[in-house]
Amino acid sequence: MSDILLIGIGNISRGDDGIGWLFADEMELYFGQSVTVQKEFQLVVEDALKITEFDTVIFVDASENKLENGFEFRKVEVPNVIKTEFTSHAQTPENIIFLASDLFQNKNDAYLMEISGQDWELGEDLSEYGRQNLHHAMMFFKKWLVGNMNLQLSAISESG
Amino acid sequence: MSQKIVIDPVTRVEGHGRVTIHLDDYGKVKDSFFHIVEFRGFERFIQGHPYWEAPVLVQRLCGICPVSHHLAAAKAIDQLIGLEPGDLSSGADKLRRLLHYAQIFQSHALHFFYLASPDLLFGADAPKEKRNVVAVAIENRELATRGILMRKFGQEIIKAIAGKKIHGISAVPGGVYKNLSREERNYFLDGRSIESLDTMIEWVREVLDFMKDYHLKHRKNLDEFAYYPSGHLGLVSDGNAMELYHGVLRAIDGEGNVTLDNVSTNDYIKYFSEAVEKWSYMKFPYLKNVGRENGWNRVGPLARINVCDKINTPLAETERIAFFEFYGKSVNNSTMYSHWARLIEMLHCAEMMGDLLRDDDLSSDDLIRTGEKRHVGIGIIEAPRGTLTHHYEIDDKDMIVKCNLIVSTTHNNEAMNRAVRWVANEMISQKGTISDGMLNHVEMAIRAYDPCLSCATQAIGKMPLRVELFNAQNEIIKVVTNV
Repeated sequence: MSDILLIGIGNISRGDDGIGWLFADEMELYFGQSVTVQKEFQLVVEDALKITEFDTVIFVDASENKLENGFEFRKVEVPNVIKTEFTSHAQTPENIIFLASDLFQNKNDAYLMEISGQDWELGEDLSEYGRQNLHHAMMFFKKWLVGNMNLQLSAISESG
Repeated sequence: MSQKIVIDPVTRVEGHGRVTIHLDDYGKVKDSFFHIVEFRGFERFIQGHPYWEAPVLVQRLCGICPVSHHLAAAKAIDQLIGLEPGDLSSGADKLRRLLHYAQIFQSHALHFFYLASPDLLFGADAPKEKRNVVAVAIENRELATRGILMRKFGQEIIKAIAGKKIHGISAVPGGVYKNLSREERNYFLDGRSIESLDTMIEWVREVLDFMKDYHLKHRKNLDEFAYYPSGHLGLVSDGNAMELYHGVLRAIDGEGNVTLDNVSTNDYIKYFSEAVEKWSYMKFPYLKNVGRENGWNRVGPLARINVCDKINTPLAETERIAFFEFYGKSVNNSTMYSHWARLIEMLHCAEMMGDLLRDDDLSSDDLIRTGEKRHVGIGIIEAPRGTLTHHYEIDDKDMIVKCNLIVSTTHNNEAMNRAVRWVANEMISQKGTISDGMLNHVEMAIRAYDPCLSCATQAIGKMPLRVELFNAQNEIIKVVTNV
């Protein structure tokens, strides 16, 4: 098992909502066993336990926001105030990080990659807008991961 | 001016739903409805598929109880190749049962810890920001942690047998496709990698102690809240023992009179019919011999503990006896006792999982049997939320030509509507100002049934539920949603 968990969030059957999964698929292909990939429709409470098994966790999700450059990548800090939703079934990355820290004393690093999409219809493929943003986000992320996680990647590469 | 209350979405349930409450000019409740507003229709689009696809396709009905649909369909498909449940190899039968108990264990853990515990810990009048599992984690770290770990335990067993925690595959026509090695079984028993089965039993017993204490402190409210006599339906085995995987159908009325006894699951269609109402996509099943008005039944934990005369595991049986001694009657019609009954079932499932994990038959290679083709297959199982029926008919080319699903939550449709009506009449009618707390009582009554509205209508999409308040002119004057 790698030290990095990448969680792609979304639904491949709903247009640009599939961005998170396609991103995850590409990273699994590109980095192989150096990155553990998990694809989910939504974040759930148990993910707070799951992420404690890794040093670094990266959440990837499509976004309705029109982000500059089509994507935004940022560190997720343990929030002081949690955001509660009407359902317990879909949690935010911040809530997952909070629960992992509060319940399991988790100290890992967490990042969120948001990628802009615009069409979310059932049965639709990615929009051109979503596809371009996904491409740029993946290019950025591959460089970032190699640059910032070099030690971990090298160690895994040597042992594997 | 008369009013109509709308609760939309009803929260902490699985699927879409909406409650409307109609008030007259004096603020008195005229009528109330629990609407299921989404429709998908697995029964129709599974037609034309080969029968062996059914256990894989139908589990996509749900992300919480896919194993129940997988196994109910598998039991039906076994019949299509000429096999009754007793014809399966011992290993296959026990592997399916272990999968099933793990499913109920994790589903009940999810409901109690994630969905119901905020009501118990904070009360129905707590602000909505507090009525969720994250707030539970902040205020009761141990409870939240155990909830997560108990759900994980059940899901890990599912993964070991079916390959995935959600939407895995284990059952094939006539059996299962893989066994569990001794090492795989010990993983759940020795406590080295994850909390052991014995720890699960210990934790459930502690939560049961909490629940008994809670009932002592809130007895009057829990006895009276959403109390209404009803039928109760479930599977039982020899001696009317609680049965979750395969048995005969038994039902009683609200006073304990038997309305259905020792009925083979193959004969269900002789005894049940389904009514429809124009305001809901969910049907209303009832016993033909009792009739539409009174023949409806609750299903699920409260119903199951009512229809059985015993539980065949010692710790759960002790708890069952304590449950009825506390209540003081032989039939329990108090909706809020569903949570207590659900915990007793968790204990029963944990005991059963322990017995099975120690059974070497689980490592047997004798996993698949064959028989002579038939054209009709019926599988009935006790899913976490109650009695679940899958019925398939195939043509000479092995294609499904008919599918009938009676999902647990569908049986509870009338009961949930009665629960809404009870709260509307007792807590909202002629009370003047309508508070969020009052309306959360409506949700709490529905939530006790742990309804899976996606299963019941095979719905897709987000999971909200609304409450709407209407005046006498049928105009919406208040909408409550926690979104």
